[in-house]
Amino acid sequence: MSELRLAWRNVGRNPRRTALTVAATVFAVLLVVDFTALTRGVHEKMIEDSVRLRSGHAMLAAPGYLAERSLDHFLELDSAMIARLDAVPEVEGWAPRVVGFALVSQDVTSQGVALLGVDPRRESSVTSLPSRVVDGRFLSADAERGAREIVLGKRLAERIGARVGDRVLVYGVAYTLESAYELFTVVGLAQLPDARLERTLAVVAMADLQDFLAFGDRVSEVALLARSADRTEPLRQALVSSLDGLVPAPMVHPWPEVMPDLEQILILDDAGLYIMLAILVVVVGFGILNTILMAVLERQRELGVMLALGLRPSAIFRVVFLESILLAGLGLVLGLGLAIPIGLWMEAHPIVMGEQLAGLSEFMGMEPVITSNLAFSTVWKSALVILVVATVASLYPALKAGRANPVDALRSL
Amino acid sequence: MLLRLAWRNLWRNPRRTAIVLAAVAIGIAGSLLSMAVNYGMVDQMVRTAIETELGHIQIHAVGWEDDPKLERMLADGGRAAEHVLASGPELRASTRRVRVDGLAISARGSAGVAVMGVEPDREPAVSVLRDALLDGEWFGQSRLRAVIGQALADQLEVDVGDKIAVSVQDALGELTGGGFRVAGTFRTSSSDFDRSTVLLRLAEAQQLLALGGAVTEVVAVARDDDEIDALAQRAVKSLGGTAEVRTWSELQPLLLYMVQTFDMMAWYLYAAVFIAMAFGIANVLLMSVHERTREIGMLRAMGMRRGQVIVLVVLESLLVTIVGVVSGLGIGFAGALALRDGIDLSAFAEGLASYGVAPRIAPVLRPSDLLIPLVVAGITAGLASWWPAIRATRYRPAEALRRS
Amino acid sequence: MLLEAVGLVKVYDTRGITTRALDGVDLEIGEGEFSAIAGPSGSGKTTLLNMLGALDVPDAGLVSLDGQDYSSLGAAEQSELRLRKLGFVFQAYNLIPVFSARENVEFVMELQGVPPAQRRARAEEVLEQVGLAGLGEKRPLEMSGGQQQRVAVARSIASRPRLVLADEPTANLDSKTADSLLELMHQLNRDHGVTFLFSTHDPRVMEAARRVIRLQDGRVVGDERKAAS
Repeated sequence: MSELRLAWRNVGRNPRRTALTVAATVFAVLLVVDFTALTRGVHEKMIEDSVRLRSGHAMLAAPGYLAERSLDHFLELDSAMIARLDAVPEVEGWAPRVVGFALVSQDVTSQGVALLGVDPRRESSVTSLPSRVVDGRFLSADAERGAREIVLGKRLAERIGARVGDRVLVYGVAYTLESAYELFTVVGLAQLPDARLERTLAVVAMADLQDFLAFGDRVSEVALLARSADRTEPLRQALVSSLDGLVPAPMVHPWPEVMPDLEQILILDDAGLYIMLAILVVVVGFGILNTILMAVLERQRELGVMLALGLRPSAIFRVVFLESILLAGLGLVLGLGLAIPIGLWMEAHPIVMGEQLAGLSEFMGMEPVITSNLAFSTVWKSALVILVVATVASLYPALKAGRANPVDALRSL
Repeated sequence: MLLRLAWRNLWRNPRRTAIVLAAVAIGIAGSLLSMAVNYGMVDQMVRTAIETELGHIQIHAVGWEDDPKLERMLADGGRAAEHVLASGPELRASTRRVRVDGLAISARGSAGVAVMGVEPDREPAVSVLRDALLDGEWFGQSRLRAVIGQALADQLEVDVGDKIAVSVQDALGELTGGGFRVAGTFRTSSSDFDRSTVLLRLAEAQQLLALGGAVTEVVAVARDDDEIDALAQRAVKSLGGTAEVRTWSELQPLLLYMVQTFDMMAWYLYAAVFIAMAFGIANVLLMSVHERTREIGMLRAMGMRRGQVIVLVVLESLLVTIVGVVSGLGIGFAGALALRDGIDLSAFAEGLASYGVAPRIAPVLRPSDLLIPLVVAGITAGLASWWPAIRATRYRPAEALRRS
Repeated sequence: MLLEAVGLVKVYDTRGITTRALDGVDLEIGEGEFSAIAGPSGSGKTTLLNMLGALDVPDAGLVSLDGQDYSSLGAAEQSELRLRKLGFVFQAYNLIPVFSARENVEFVMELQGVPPAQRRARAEEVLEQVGLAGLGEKRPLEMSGGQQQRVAVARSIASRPRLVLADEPTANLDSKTADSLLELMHQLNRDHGVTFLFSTHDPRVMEAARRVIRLQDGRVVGDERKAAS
């Protein structure tokens, strides 16, 4: 305990130097914690946007579907499977889809689209598509089979010059590989955070699409919603065991499998962030190293006296080591004291991006709002990193102090 | 001599200075390298977009940008536009294209695609598509051949030699189609492009679409990046209101946003690293000024003015920072040079390809990489020395001389 | 009169205890003098010297050099005064450790704006005058105490000041070295007309000085002029 007290006094000996070192640490903690929170928020938003837009947290599909996304791979959504899906408590919601490609045209302008057949009653339990209609309405839940309603992405509608109430020609290739064309009535236009998707998405009732594609009662995929993104894995496990024994057994793909590009981009982005923060932390680490080293060199004589009095070098090593931990700990406590409220404040006050960044977010396929997300794990991991850096930075000065030669030390001043 | 004094003062405690230098150098080298990799990525994104689709400049019929209907065509087959482009020294190559949305259908499936009619002999001078051939050949000799993206071929489950049908709406508004045999497949750095592109011969595309000799666009590349604007301006001047001339950045403003955003990020990154350094620099200067209290008193007694003492401390701060920045830049440049063959990120190939980036990223250094760190360093060094400098002159000479 | 001080008072206040370091000192120093302010430690010698050297400001009283009152000068003008008209030699040599002997001497002249060639020649000249010819490139830490103090003397006279103030210049030197330093300063006074004012409690200095002003508890208690030797 006396070692700790000694270390603490030493930290207080040069208040100005301590203040500067602590300030540097506070700055680093602030950036590390709040930047990670911000990035985490952005990433969760990107995941959530993608998940709630299209894929769900997980997807049920026939083996091989994910690679080709063709009508050749399909599921039979019979009552047995429906019963099992409904029986899994981890499944917050599920929605079946038929996915095809088609040309949609109005007059002489046509555009290739991903034709998404959804069950209007079920869709809102998984995705936000129904609520994204900004003009007109979503597909009506009780329209009869053959009503042939269609919801277009707003950009897509603008491109082909279609408005709500217009009839557009949908032209595609059926499951039987025969040409299929049919007129659909535009009932709504949807605005999506992903501009690319908004240019190429058309949504129709699943039953109508099954007829159009001569697909029978088959479905391409079933989108599943978990209670939250981090419950994806439990959902997958629960489903796999629940669907066990079905022939043919559908595959359960968690979202990173459905959207590997998204996951990889997030990993790369994380890597970029961590590199930047690492640089920052190393720079601050050098600052701590310098402070402790100077403190040790200034005290050569004093350390010599202590050694001469019979203090063990290991005790001196410990005192110096404790000093650096105290210094970093002080910065850490103050830094967290600042970073956590700021992080929470940012969480409560999402940042709306300016015009330029909004363009970028459109490119990245997300809404131009940054909501930060401060996780407890971010806090303790940041704390750990700072303490580890402080420990490493203290090694050299501590070793040097422990090796002080009493005679030299006494002579040196 | 003030400068010499500042310089020598730095080395009075070489270990202390060396640690500060190391911190500055590592901070700079790390920032430089990570920015260089970022720029490399953006650069590739831009290059991929230019080399696959955009070219440097595209010329369309008036109104195409707002409403790219097939009826808005260059009725003269782009002859006027190409003539204007070729009349100056800036042009490297140009070609003509027809572009329309359509469906590609195989025996196993279908996909929405962009159908591009290209001139097989002239296209390679403008885009990388022929060089990106993975399998088969670039159209070959036979009639009715298509070259398609490998990802599209996978989706349609076709190989070279197989037949696909291309369905489009022609210039008269009629749904029409034609059969083409796959002559070759390509893979570019853009997964989007590979998944959705069918290349046809220009003449055959014009026939399919009932376009006669008309084309939708003329694509040009300049000899040099600096000449793009000059080339575009000349085209605008000569073609006037008869055609729309657009540069790549006008066609894809998001790419430009991306470049600008990274420029902004560089400032923030350097600023963050330097603020962290500033504390360390201030600390060391403060210690050094404190140790030299008496010496500074003596300098003042000899007739040095207060301002000169402040200049001395600021100079010391600037020197240590500049030496650190320069060595950091040196390490960073060496690192970038060592990595010039690219960093292998094939584990992230799909994610990168969705943004048009190849899995091998070479760091790209730009003039601003020199400028930004030096400017930011100068500012922080100045700020970091302010407090120590003020402290250095706070005692009257007599008082400073009394202190030990 | 070269230097004139009237009614100088300086009070130090350390944690509530006030000390009258100077308690009404009047003093006149003429051109060409070789004088010493003598007194036990704590008598106010250094404080007086600091006031005379414009290094500190008195609480009351006036100091003037060549008729110019210090209190009428701003901080920058006081620096200028120290730079052009005064030279200092300190007990602890106080050289710039990172500069060589020559650079130390040249530095003052550089501050004065003397062109490089000229100040170099002058530096060599004064180093020779103080007996350090050929040692100009040594750094202070490579020299003995006596040599360092000679550099300090050379530095103080390099710019031909009107008055050199030397605060206990011999205190850190052994007697032999102190003697030879005194001899040097005496010679500079005699041959080059440099005016010296010492503060000291070293009997050797008092012996050498031609005028000894005795200070006690901040007051002048004696002023003794000797016949020219």
